[in-house]
This record gives sequence, C-alpha cells and structure tokens, in this order.
Amino acid sequence: MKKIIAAALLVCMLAALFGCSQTKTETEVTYPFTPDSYPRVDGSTATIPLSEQFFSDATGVSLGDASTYIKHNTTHNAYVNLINGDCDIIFVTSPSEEEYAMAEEAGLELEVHPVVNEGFIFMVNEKNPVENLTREQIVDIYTDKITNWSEVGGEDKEIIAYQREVNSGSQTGFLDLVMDGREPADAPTEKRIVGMGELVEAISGYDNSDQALGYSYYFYVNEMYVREAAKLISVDGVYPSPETIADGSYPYTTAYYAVIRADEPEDSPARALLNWTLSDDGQNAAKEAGYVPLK
Amino acid sequence: MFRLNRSLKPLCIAAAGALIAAAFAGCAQSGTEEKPREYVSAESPIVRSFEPYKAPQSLKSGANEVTSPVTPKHIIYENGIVLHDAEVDMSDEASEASDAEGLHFKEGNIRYYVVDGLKDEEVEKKINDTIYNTVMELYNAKLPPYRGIRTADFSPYELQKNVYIRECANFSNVLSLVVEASVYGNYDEGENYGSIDVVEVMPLNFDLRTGEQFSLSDVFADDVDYKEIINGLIADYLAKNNISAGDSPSEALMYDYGSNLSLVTPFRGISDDVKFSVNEYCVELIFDYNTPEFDTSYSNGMYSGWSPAYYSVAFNLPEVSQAAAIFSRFDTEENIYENERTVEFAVSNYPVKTTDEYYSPSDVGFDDGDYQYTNVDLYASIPAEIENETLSALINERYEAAKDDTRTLAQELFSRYSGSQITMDRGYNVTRYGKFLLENDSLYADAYYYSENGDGRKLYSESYHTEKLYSEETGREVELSELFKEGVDYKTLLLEGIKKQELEWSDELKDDSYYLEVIENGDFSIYQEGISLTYKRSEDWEDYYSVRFKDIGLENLTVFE
Repeated sequence: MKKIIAAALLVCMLAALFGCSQTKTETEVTYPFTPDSYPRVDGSTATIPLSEQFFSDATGVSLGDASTYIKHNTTHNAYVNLINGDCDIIFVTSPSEEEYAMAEEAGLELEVHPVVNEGFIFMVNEKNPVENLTREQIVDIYTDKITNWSEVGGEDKEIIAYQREVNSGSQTGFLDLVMDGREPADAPTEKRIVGMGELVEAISGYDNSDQALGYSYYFYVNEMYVREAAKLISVDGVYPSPETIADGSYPYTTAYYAVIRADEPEDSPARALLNWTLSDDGQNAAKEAGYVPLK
Repeated sequence: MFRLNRSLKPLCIAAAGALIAAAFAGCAQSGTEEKPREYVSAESPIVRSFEPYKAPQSLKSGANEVTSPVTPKHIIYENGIVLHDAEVDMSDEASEASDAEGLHFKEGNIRYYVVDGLKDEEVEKKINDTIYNTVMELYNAKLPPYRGIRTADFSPYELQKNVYIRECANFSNVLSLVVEASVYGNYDEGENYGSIDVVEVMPLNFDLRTGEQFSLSDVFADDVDYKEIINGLIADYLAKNNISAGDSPSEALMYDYGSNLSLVTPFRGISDDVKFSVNEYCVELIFDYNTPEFDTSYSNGMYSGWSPAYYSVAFNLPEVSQAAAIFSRFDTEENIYENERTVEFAVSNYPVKTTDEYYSPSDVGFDDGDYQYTNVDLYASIPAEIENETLSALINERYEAAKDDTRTLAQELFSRYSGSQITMDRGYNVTRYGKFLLENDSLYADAYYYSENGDGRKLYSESYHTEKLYSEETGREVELSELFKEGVDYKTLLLEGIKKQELEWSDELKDDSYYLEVIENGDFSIYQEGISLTYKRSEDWEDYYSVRFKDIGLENLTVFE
C-alpha cells in the first residue's frame, strides 16, 4: 500500500514540477529566491562550495558575489545556530548524538535530508598494479589478516595501510562505512596520517609509496593537486565515479545533509530552499560545485 | 522526513521527498516570507561586486633572458632611489562616507611613498601616479568581497579606514610594494563589545627601468614551469602541516613561510592571477577573496574579520634556488639612478623554524592578578635546515635551551617578585649570510615595584647580547680574518673604513692604535651592507663601527665566494 501511495505522490509531484518549470526561458530567467529572500544558512566547512553554488543558482547572483553571502561556522556551530534560531537551514555532515540531544533539550525536532552523495574511496600509487579490492579484503588488510600485496593480486611487497587520526572525518567514515563495527589493527605512528593532503602525499610521493594503501572522501581526492597521481581503485569490481556513487552500486557511499527545524512552516524560506536543493536545478548546482548529486 | 541514524526510512520516501522538493522549488518565489535581516542587505552599497584581480602582462620580452640553472647571487644592489613618506588628509572624505553608506566612519589615514631618484623622470612619474592612484582607489573602494562578509553586521561599529604602504623589495631595479587598506572598528556597550577588521592588500611590483609592473612568471627563469614549482611546494606545505579541505590549520606551524592557510576546497593549484610581492628572501603569495579555496576569515569570540593569508616561496629552497630570476631579470650594467647603488648581502634565511611565545604568570603556575604588570616574551628563529650536522646540533640545542631558559627565568621572576612589574625580552636568532650563520642571543629582563605615587624601585635587572659567526662549511666559529681572502691586509682595509666612518660622524680622528685595538680585540659581526665592530672602551661605554662591503672591496672578501 505504501508503494502505491509513494507512486501516486511521485506522479502528482512530477506534474507539479512540470507545471512550474516554465519560468526559465532563453529570454527571461527567473530565480526562486532573491538575495534578501534567501534563508539564513550555515554549515560545515566541507559544504561551503555547495552552499555558495546553491545561492548563486537560486538567486542569479554570480558565484563570486554569492560567496560574500555565505559564511559557514563549522558543523557543530551550525547545529547550535540552527537550534538557537540563528539560522534557518544548514548544510552539514550527519548530526551527532550530542546534537540530537541538544535539539531535544530545546524542544525541537531536526529534519535531516540527504542533499548530495559522497563516496568513500581507497587509493594506491599509480605504479601499484592492483586495480580492485573486495570489501572483505579491505577489512582483512586493516585487521592485519592480509599483509602482502601478492595476496590480493599485486607484487610481493608488504602493504603499508595508512589510517587517519582518530577524530578526523575520514577516520569516522572509515570506521562506520568500512569496518562496520570491527576494530582495525592499531596503526603505528608512521602509518597514522594526520592530514588528508599528507595521506595523498604518502601514496603518491615517497620512496615506498607503491606499497601504500589509503582512503579518503571522493570530493577531496578527485580534485586535489598532487605532484604525482594517486590511483583510485574499484571495490567489489565497482570503480568510484559520480555515477556509481549516485546509483549506490559503489559499496561505500554516504552523504552531506540539509537540516532544518521540523516546525518550519510549509511556505517558509528554509523549506523552500530545502525543496529547491533537491530539485533538478538544485542537484545540477551540486554537480556544478563538484559534488555527487543524489541522482 | 526522517531522522538519520535513528529511524531510517526507505529510500523511496527520500526520492519522493526530492520530487516534492522539485515541485516546491519551481513555485518557491511566491510563497517565501521575508525575515528581518541581521546583516548587510543585497542592496547595500558597502560590499563591492566580485572582480577577480588581473595580473600584469609578462615583461620578459623587454627584459634580460634568464634560463635555469640560475646561479644564486650573494650580493645585490639596493636601488639608488629614495622613498619619501607622504600622507593625505582625508577627514572630509570620511564624513562623506558616513553620509553615503549609513555607517559610522571616523577620520582615517592614508600613507604612501613618493619615489625619487630615477634618471628618467617620465618613468618616475608613471610609478608615482600608479602608487597614488592605487592608494586612493583602495581608500575609496567599498569593502572587499570576502567570503561571508555580507553576513557581518557593521552597523554598531565606529569604523576607521586606513591605507598604508610597505616596501618589500628595493634592489636590482625591482621595487615591490604592498598597499594595505584596512577597515577597523570596535564598540563597547558594557557586556556587548567587539571588534572587526577587514584587510585588503594590493601589490605593486615595478620594473624600475620602465615603470611597468611585472608578473609572477617574470620572477622565475624563462624555461621553468613556475606554477608547477609553486604548486608542488604548496601541496607539500599543506600536507606537512596537516591542512586539507575542511580541516583547520595546525596550531603550531613549524615553518614560517605560510600563515593562516585554511582550505575550503581541495587545493587545485594557483592561477596566473594570484597576487604576489617579492623580497630578497622569497616570493610572497597573497591569498584572499580571489583565491576562494582558502578561507581567510577569522572569528575569535567577539573579534572577527577578514585578512589575506600568505605563503612564501623561499628563493633558497632546492626547487627554487636555480629557478629564481628576480635578481637578474631587470638588472642593468648602467646605473639608472641619480645616486649610486648600494651593495648588499643577499640574506637567504628561509625556511626558518620559529617560536614566538608570551608567558603570563598563569602560564607557569602563578596568579595573573598578583602583579602590577607583566610582559615576558621569547622570540627565537633559526634556519629550518643546517647542512653541517655538528653546527645543526649545536644551534638546535641552543634554540631549545633558549625556550627552556625563558620559561625557567619567567617562573623564577614571577615567584620572587610578586606584586611588581616584570618585563623580559628574550631573543635567540640565527641568520644565514651565504655560507655563514650569525647567531644573535639576547636577554633584557627587569622587575620594578611602583608605589601609588608612581615612584619606581628596581628589584632586578639582567641583560646581555652576544653575536657569534659560524661557518656552515667547517661548523666552527669564524675569526675576523676568515672573512677576507688570504694575503689581504684586512686590518688596513678595516682601519681605513673605520676612519672614513669616524669622519662622517665627527671632525676628529683618534690615534690609529685605538682603531687597531678595536679591530684586534673588539667583537665583530656582519650585516647586510658590511662588517660591524664593537669595542668596550669602558664599563659603561661601547664604540660601534660599521665598514661597508663596497669600501672593503668585494674582491677581498670570502663572504661573496
């Protein structure tokens, strides 16, 4: 029954979408917001480019000028500002238990919507012949059950499996998405990389880099300047790309989220923007900014 | 709607949500309700539109050809120009700004330079017009379009706009200046207080032969990919300092050639239009609203603002030393100045390892409220890499000791002189002059007690200042004679130099035996333009002499080998 309702809803909404989509023509382009009607936004540092592109595409303001309107105060502060009513919508990584608790204490409910996809990728040096690892092999490597590249189709060389520092976003992603509750082997200091740039450098630059295995988020690594190329590898035979991350065939996917207060009125600017970000125009904006759209 | 990690709903609902969203989006304009804005509105004239900075064209075609490997230069010529300080009174304009923009501006300052001394007056006028026009343009400009600047509320502040200029390079027919405009404001209404600071800089890099501005590519040899060199260095820097997109910079940057670099998006490389200035050590890249991958805003409690971040590409780095063309690009045999050019030593000190620490009583276990006043600080700076292992170990050990000693002495003074005023200034700095390292070690410390009527009583005082010159080749301390080539009568050369200086300062010469005593038994050091000699004539009197390299003759010195 739920499926029928969802399908009916879909048809209705498609009709509504087409009904309202004639506002953009070659001669007259209208935008859903003006800079003054745009809701107050905040968010994570990682979503600043996304937020700026949203503002630009939704108001018609140039991207350079759009940046002058957007200030994100990092993930936790953005949640605090949303809960305190100091902003109306935030673009962030997923809320923590603490942030849920803060909202509950304030008598608020948070409405959390994925707004772009993100992939969690593994990379090796371009000289490494290995092109693919299975999820099981990755877990075995990080639990020291597999220690040599020859065990996964590579050369007879020790695997140097780098990890990030404990509280980094990448390490959280690694533990949640990849290890899924299993404890990774304790990485010695020389294998515990603090910065994401350093991780890429370790894989692409150093003498023993052809033995290295590292991980990161797709958005960062795909566009980062590096002296030599680090090579992304497939997981379970699926190469990380915008398409495979968006359609979910790539095994390790997560998202950035738009969050509003659940009591926002239906016609509020925050809800209107949320809805726009999930529309084709909004998703095209996300793609333009270098993120992986939802569809 | 769903709550992540708590009650995940089927994906189809999210998909339906997206479609609902799409429907709303198309019709969103009519249903939005404007909320009161807390920040600068879209119609406000105070933030200007984003206009990316455009770099000047390369001047390579009209300048010296320089190909790699470039031989590093130990000497450079300081240009024979004078930079006269100049100031504009803008009090009337400040009032007009208040009227036009609805903001509270008070009188600001405009300070700039007037260049004097070029033989070609037309070129001189062209440069001076450019400087003045840039200064006035920045003064009259709206706020720079930094990321998020429109979300700041400027209305409570009493603002002051100032424009200054600073000299970065003035050698080898290159004049590099930076014009810095700042809008600063604060307010204090009891519990509500704060300050805000917005800084914009505009570099001016002149080829003094023509008055044209040169580009970043002109700083590097013709046959190198300067962007690849710089991008590699920045990528290394970001990696080593743990800065990646979304991360904050490390609190303790170990190298002094990057500051406040915080990435918003992955670093993809510099553009041709990055702002820069040059000095004798490095090219200083300026990252601001033109380089949005770097987040250059800051907020610390009630203090907030926007200012550029800098990254220095040091000329003595292995990747750069044989690619840096700036010392040769515009150099000429002919003197283009009315005055003579001055010979200077090209100091090559970067990268450096630095410590700049202030100690309050509470930092070392005492109560801040127990003292009339305290100002205890340490500044230490040494080359990040010293080839000679023995010397490297010695200097690093002394660098660490300086840090430990400062803390120990601070603790001792805070312990012994509670209720008094304590000041301490500790310095340990090592500067590289070619193959020599000059160690400069100093301490000034005192404790005073001031009574209610303002009378001060000295409780403690200690000071020293020593300089030692080391050879990076041998690792040992250098004798004065080692600055001169074998067979050179250096005492006579220095004697003549000292007497020349003495006559510039007074009408009377002392007996030669006194000057020889200074040379043989005084302390010596080197500085950019020459050799200095100090001699303690009595307990409370020290004579100081400086003899310029050009008076000694470069051909007689080992320092330029």
